[in-house]
Amino acid sequence: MHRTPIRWLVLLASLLLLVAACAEEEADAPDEEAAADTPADELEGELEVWAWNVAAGSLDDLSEEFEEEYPGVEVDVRDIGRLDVYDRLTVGLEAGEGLPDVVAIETDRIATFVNAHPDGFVDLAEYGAAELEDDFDPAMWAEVEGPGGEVFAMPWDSGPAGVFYRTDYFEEAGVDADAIETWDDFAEAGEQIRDEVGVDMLSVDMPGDDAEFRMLTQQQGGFYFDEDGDVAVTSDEAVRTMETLQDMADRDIVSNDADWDGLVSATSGGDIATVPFGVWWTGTLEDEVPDQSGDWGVFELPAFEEGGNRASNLGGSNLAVVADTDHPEAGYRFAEFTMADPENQAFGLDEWGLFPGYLPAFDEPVFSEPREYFGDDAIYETFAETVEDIPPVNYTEDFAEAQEIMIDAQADILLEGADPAERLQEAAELISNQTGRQIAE
Amino acid sequence: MRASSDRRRGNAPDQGDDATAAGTPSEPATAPVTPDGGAAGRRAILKRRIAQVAMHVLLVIGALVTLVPFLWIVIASTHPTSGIFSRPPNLLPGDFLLQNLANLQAMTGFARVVFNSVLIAGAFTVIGVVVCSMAGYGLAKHRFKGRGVVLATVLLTIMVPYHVLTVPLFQLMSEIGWINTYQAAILPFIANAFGIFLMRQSFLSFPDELIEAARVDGAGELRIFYRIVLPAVRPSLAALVIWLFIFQWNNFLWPLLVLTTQDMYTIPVALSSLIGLSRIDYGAIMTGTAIAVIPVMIVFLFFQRQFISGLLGGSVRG
Amino acid sequence: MTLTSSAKAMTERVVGRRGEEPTGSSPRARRRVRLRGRAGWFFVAPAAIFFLAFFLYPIVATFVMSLQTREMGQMVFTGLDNYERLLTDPVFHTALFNTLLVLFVQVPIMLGLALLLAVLLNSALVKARGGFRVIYFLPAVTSLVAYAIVFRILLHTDAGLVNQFLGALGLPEPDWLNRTWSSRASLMASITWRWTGFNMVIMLAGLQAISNDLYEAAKVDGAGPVDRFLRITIPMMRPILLFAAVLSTIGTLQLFDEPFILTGGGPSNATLTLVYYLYQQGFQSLNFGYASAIAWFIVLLVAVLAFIQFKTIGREDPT
Repeated sequence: MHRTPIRWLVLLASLLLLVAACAEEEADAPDEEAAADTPADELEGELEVWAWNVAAGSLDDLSEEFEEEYPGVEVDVRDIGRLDVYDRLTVGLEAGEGLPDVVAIETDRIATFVNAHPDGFVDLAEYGAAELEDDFDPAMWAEVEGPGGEVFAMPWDSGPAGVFYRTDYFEEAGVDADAIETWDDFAEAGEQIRDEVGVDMLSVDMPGDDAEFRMLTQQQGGFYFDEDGDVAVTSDEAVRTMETLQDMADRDIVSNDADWDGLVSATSGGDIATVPFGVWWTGTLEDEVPDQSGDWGVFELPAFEEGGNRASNLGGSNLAVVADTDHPEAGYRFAEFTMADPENQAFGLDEWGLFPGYLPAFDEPVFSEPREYFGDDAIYETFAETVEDIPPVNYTEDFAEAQEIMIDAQADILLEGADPAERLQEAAELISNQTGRQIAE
Repeated sequence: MRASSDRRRGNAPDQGDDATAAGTPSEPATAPVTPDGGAAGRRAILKRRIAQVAMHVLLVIGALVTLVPFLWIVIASTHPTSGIFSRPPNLLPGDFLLQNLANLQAMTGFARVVFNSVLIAGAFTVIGVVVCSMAGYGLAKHRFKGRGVVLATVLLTIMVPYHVLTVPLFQLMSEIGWINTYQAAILPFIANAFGIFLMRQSFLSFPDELIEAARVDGAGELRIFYRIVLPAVRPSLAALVIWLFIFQWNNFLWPLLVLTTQDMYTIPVALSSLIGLSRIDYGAIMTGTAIAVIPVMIVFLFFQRQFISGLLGGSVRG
Repeated sequence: MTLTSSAKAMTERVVGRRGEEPTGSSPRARRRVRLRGRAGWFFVAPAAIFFLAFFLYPIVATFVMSLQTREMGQMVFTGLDNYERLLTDPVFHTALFNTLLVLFVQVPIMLGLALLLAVLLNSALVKARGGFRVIYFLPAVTSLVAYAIVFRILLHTDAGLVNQFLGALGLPEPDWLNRTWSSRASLMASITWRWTGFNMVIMLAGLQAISNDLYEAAKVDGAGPVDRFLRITIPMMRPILLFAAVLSTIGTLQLFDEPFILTGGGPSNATLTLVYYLYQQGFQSLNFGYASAIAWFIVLLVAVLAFIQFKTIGREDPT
C-alpha cells in the first residue's frame, strides 16, 4: 500500500539501465563531399550565419556585396549573444540538429568544438583553403589547422595587444609613456600616477578573468599548455607573470573590477590610467566612452626585461562552415569572400574594430589613417607592426577547464597573497588531474 | 463579494492581532487587572498602535532594500551606457530613455519581442493552470493505481537539472519539426511539476467530507472539481498563475535554443543577444529590463487581489 | 455547512489523515471506488500525456549519456566511470559543499523572512498591503543580466554604494565579491533579494486558506497568540510550508543563474554550485557524459532530501 516515490525512482532507474544497455548509438558517416569549383553564378542556396554583435554586423554589411557576386546564394546573418552562439552550437552539434551553415567561433574555443565533433565542421581544405595559408597570420592559422592538414575554420580577427593609456593623466603626473620599457617601469609609473592623479594604473578582474595573465605569459612565449599539449603553468614565464601582477597589486595600483561592465565602468568613470588589452578595445572606447575622445593613446606592451619581446595577443575569432550544411561550397565561398579579401577585412577593422588575421589587408589605407579618438595617431599601424612577433600558443580542447582553474589560482595569488610558484604548482596538478595531461618538465 | 469579505476581516481578528498581542505576552502577570476597564482598554489600544507602527517601520525598511536595485535599473534606463557607469553614480534620471528605446527597437525589434513574451507566457499560463490544477487534484484527492508512479515522475522532472535535458529535448523538437515555433517554447514544460505539486499541497487541506457529500448529491467528478473544490483554493490558483507566468517570462535557455529568429525571440533571449563582444549597449539592456517588468506586474496586481478576498471561498463556508 | 470549529480535528484531517480508502463491502461501494480510480486518472491524464510526450525520452537519454564518455568524437559506454569520477573530483566536492551551504543557511533565512512578510502582509493592521506585496514581489521578475550589473555596482569594494554607506556609519567595508565568505554572503543576499517575495506569495496563499473560525475557537479555549501561531498557523500551513521547502531545496540544488552571472563561481570556486559545474562540464568543456552523471547525482540528492522533508515538515507518507 505504501509505495514511496523513492521506490518507484529505483524501479524507474533500473528500467533506464535496461534501456541504456540496449541503446547503441550509431555514428553518422561523414558526408562525402567532392571538392568542387562551381562558377559563382551557379552556386545556390541559403546560408544561415550565426555570430555575435560586431561579427554579425560586419558579416551582414558584407553579405550584400556577396549576394551580388553570387546571385543564387542568400545570406541570413543572425545576431546572437556571444555565449548564446556557443550554447546553441553546443546543443546543435550534440543533437545533430538545428545547426547553422556558417558560424563564428573564438580562437580559444575552436579546439574544444573540433575535438568533440571532428566531423562537425567542413574541412575547408577540400575547397582550396590550404592555398591561403601564406596569407594568414601563422599563429592564427595554427589554431584552425588539423593534424592531417584539415582546415576547420577560416581565421578572422586577432587581438594584438598594446597598452591603451590616458594621455592627460600621464601628462598630469609627468610620466613619459615612451620611457616605459619594462613592466617594472610600468609599475613605477603607476605609483607616480596614483600619487599625482589619484587613480589606479589598470583594472584586473581578479576573481573572474585571467586575461592579463594569458596576455603577459604569451608575450614571453608561455601559456597554459606547451606545444606538446603538456600543462605549462609552472613554467618560469607563467610564474614571472603572476609575480609581476602580484607586485602591481601589492603596490596598490590595480583596481579590481568584476566582469566586462566593471571594466567599462572603471574606464568611463576615469578611475584607471591604462588598459593593457587587445586591439579591439579601440572599438569599445570609441563607442562606449565617446566623451574621452582625444584623451587616449597607445604604446606597446612593456617587456619583461629590457629589449625583450613586446608583442602579444588577446582574443580573436574564426569563421567555420558546419558539416551539417546543405551548401558547403557556398559556405566556403562566403568565408573566403569575407575573410580572405583585403578590402573587406579593412572594412571590418574600420567599421567594427575587427583586426585582420589576413595579412594582405595590412596595406589598406585604414592602417595608416589617423584616428581622431587617439589624438590623430595611426594606432592600427602600431598594432600591425607587432603581429609578426606574437608568439604562437596552443589552446587545446581543454582550454575552458584549465582557464577555470587558472582563474582560481589568480584569485588566490592576487587577493589572498598566495605564493605564485606554489599556487601554480597546485593549479598544474589540478589541471593535469582533470584533463589527463602531463605536467611539462 | 470583495467588500463584504474585507469587512468581515475587519471585524474578525486575524493574524494581525496575533502579531500585536505577541509583543505583550506577560501583560496579565505584571499589570494587575484594574476595575477601571477604560485604562486597560486605552493601554491595549496604545500597545496595538505601537505594534502597528513597528510593523510598518519594518516593512518600509524591507521595501526600501528591495526597491533600491530596481530603482537603479529604472534610472539607468534613462542614461546612455557611459552615463550608467559614471562614478560617482548618476542618481537622477537622465534624458536618454527615448534614445535607449529607439536603440532597443532597432537592435532587437523589441515591440515584437514583448508581444512574443506575452503570447508565450500567456498561453503557457492558461494551459498550465488547467493541466496543473487537474493533476494536483487527482493526486491529492483521488486514490488510484499508479498514483505513486505519477507523483514520483512529477518530482523526477524537476529533480533532473534542466541543462542536461535540453539536448535530447531539442532532438525531439527537431524530429517533429517544431524548431522556431511558439508551441516548442510553450508546450514541453506545461506539465510544470512545481505547479502540480503546489496544487496538490493546496488541495490536501480541502475537507474530504465536502467531496463525499457532493458525490452523494449526485454531482459528477468534473463538476465537483470546478464548482466546489477549485473555488476554495483561489489564493493558490492565483499563486499558480503567478508562478507559471514568471517561470515562462524569465525562462531563458530553452527559448534561446528553440526560437531561432529574432522575430520569435522572447525578452530574455532578446536582451541576451545584446551581450556580444567588446561593445555592449547597457542602456538598452536596462531599458528592456525595466519595460519587461510591466506586463508581469499587471498580471500580479490583477491576481494578488485573490489574497485579499480568499478565506476559503463561499462554497465551503456554506 | 460550516467547518468544524475544533482546531485539533481540522489539523488532524489536514495533516494526519493517512487517506484510508472508504471501502464499503457492498458491490455498489466497490464500483464507486473503481469509478473514482478512473476519475483520478482522468485528472492526471493531461499532465501524464505531456510528460510522456516531452520528458520520457530526454530523461532516459540523459541517463544513458551519464554512462558514456566521448572518445575520439564518439560517445562510448564506459559504465560507471563518470560516477566514479564524482568521488575523486575535488572541484565537484567544492561545488557540493557550496550548494549545501546555501541550502542550509540561505533557504531557512529566506523561508523565515517570507513567512514573516506573509504574516505581516496578511494582517488587517497593515496599510497598503497591496503596494508592499508588489514591491516585495518585484525582484522575482527582474531580468538577471540587469540585476547582476546592479549588484556588482552596489557591491563594488571602493565605489559601491553599500560600502560607502557602511563607511559613513564607520563600519568595516568588506571586499564583497572578492573573498571566500563575503562572496558567498553576497550570493546568498542576492538570492534572498530575488526570491523572498515569491515565497511570500506562496505563503500568503497558504495563510488565506486558514479559516478564522479556527482562531476564534482557539481564543475561546484561551490560547495565546504564540500558542495560536504554533498550534494553528504552522500546522495548517504544513502542506504549503512543505511545498516551499521542497521548491527551495530543488531550486537551490539547481542553483545556476545567480553564481553564473553575478560571481562567475569565484573567487576560487567559493560560489561554484553543482549545476554551474555541470554547465562548465557540459556546455564549456563538452563533457556531456560527466555532466549527466552530475545531474543524476543531484537527482539522488534531491530525492533523499525531499523524502526527509515529506516525512518531517509534511508529516506524510509520500504515496
